[in-house]
Amino acid sequence: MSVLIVSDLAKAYGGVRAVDGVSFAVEAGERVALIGPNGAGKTTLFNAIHGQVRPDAGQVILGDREITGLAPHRVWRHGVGRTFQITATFMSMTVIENVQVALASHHRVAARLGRALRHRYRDEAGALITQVGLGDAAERAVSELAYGDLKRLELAVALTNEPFLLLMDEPTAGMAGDGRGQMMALVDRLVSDVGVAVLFTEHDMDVVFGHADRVIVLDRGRVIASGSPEAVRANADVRAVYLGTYDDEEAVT
Amino acid sequence: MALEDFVSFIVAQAIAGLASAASLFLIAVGLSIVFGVTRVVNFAHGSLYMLGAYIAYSLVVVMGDSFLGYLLALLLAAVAVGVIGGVIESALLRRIYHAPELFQLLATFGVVLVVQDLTRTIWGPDDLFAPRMPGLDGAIEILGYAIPTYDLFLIGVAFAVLGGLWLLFRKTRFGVLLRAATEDRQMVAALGIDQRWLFTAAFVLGSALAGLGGALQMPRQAASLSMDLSIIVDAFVVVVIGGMGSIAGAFIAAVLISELLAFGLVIFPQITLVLIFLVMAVTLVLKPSGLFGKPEFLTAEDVRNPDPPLQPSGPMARTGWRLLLAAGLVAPLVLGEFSTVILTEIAILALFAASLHFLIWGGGLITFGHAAYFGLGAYGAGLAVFHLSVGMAPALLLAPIAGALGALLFGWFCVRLTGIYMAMLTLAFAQIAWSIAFQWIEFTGGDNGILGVWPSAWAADATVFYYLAFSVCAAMIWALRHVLFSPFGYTLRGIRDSALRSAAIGVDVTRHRWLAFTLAGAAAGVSGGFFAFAKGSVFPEVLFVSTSVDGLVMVLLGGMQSLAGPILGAIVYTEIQTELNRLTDLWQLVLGVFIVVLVVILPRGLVGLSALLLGRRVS
Repeated sequence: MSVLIVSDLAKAYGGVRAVDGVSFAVEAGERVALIGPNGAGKTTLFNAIHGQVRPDAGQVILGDREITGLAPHRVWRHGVGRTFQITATFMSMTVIENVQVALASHHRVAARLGRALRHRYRDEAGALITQVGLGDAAERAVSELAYGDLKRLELAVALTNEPFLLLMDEPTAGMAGDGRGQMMALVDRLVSDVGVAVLFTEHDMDVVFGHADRVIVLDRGRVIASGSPEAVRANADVRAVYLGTYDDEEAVT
Repeated sequence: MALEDFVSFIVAQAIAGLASAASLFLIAVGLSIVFGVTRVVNFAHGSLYMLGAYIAYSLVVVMGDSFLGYLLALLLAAVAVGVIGGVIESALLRRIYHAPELFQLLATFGVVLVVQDLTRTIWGPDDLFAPRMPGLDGAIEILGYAIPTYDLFLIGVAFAVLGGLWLLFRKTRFGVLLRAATEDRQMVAALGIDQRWLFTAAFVLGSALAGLGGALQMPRQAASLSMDLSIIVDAFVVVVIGGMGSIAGAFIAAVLISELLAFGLVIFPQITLVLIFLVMAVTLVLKPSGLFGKPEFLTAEDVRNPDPPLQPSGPMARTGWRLLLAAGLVAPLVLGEFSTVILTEIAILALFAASLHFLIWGGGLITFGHAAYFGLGAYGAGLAVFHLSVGMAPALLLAPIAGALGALLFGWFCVRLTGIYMAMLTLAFAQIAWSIAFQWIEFTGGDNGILGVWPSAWAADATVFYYLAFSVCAAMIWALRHVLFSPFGYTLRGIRDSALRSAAIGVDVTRHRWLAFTLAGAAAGVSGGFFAFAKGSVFPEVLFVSTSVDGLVMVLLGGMQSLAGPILGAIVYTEIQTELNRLTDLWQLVLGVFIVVLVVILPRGLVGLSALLLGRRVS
């Protein structure tokens, strides 16, 4: 079953068609990588799906419900978790509090004035942070965490509403080599344990080809290829517009 | 009325409106240019306008006998104000460019106070009338209406300045740099331009425009000490509607507002303020960054200096709170009646400060108009006593309702904005509430206020009233503190830390901010209600910007990052004010300097200072 169907989605800024008629689907439990050179429209596409920007045309269907143009907080209610390219966490709280706030929202008690938050959902929050490997850091201030741990925390927060789709914008950006591997192993485990589907953008080709079931290649707002990692790697168009630049980058870095 | 009469009436009204728009444009465009380049909203911009008027007065008296002499006097006044602006920029603003917006507003408000007292000292408290401008003191008949020649001159000047600015910004290197700085600060830095020079130049230009605007008013109205604050609120409204940093926006919004006033005065004299409020509200809902403003880039959340996580009080802090409570309970038994009256005021103002602190620190909602809800509480209680002859208890129950309803209405608009836009809108709403209280004489008593708001017989004794106010205010402060630890408090804290993340975990950011605004409005209303009974009267001043600033100074003085801060701030600030009032007539000047020093030297407040001295954090 498709958990996400995007059809003919379009978004332009001024005269620039950042996303230009994109269609694809994500199946339950599938890991789909969205790749493309800088400026290909990946982040705009993500934001259009997640509701941060309103698409000009097209549809986003989640499960059996259309969510086109819904605000992010409503999209989340329909079972979508999100992590950002630059981590967005609550810096003046502890690790476990970050998760507790999200759980309070999930259980619809975010506006309650009564019993202190610290006493609510402790076990649930503890289980989630243990799941992402932050069990020992529960009471630490988020501002003290290393960047890789912030990414893990974001993942735990994104899981609080038991999502069936995770949107992860560059899940390993800013992490060192083995951190990347650990992060993606964690995502793989989530997919196999919980059955969540993952749509992610990524620059690191090792991550893409090692951890995606399917790859969608975007260029100038359009899908130019889609298929298994092997098929995409062999695709001539992709090599021309994308992997060429990728090779150059590799040569430089 | 025949058709041609109607047409000529419309034309005459429109010209009068344009003449008023001229000065408003000069002020607003200066404010807008300074903001565009430096990102500082200069509260003292109205003071520069006032200085322009006073300096022009003095020069005109000496050299204004001829048209050219008069003109030269006006231009010299503008130049003088530009120089004064340059001094203010290099002495003060330069030190606070990287401070939070609230600190910048407060520091420049300190300048407002200082300039007020200096102006009073130099020119005296009375309004000053300048002679008319030779050669332009007559009127020209247009379609049967006598239009003052000077009005046409003003309109000409406004267009000349608009054209001059356009040329400056399009055709000169300096103008291009100003535009570049407005649109992309990093880029200018990268170009290797000395930003300090550019900032000072922009400030001098903006100040000179304000000075010119004030000078040009001299033949039309008297120079008075209230010019500064009345014009700055109008200028805020114009800049908010037109869009921060936009010259064309300032022009169009100034014309829009002035014409609205010119025609509104004829058609609905009672509700001109409401009209302006509606225009502003509709603009902001449709285009939150104003007609010609660019949306501020989400300059992401401030992650440089995150607060430490909230801690429940440890044994030391609990002891501290208990000591404070005990001191509050014992104090009136030990001290005399005069002190009890002051203690009552401290308890009431501590609640006001705590409700403000709840908004700013708890939710990151920057307000410069919290007096609105304090004042609505006071008026709610006062009007209930005056018109409905109810007793103290029901009147006190009305106070939070009035505060909450006001916050519910104004907040709906305010919480849609952030940062400096929110601060300016909250201020504009508070000033509108003030003007209504001031102008609606039949209902509110206007400037004469509402008298005879005394406590019921059972609480008439100062000590009894103190215990009542103390216990209610202490309970409310405790409740606000409790809310900070509740799921709602944490949700708010989350919104403050990262609105992006909050929305991504299903939090309706706008609604929660609105709720917080209303809650704080209700708490401020409670303190306002008690304030009315403590004073026995309600005057429009409770709604005035100075009341909002008092609250902000208490919060900052005590220390923003501590729950005890607002209480400590209320105690120290009330004491200082009481003493200053006794010692000097120039208390505004002292207070202004005090605020500036506080912001520049002690931005973490007294609690921060003690933490620094003790070498640890205090919670």
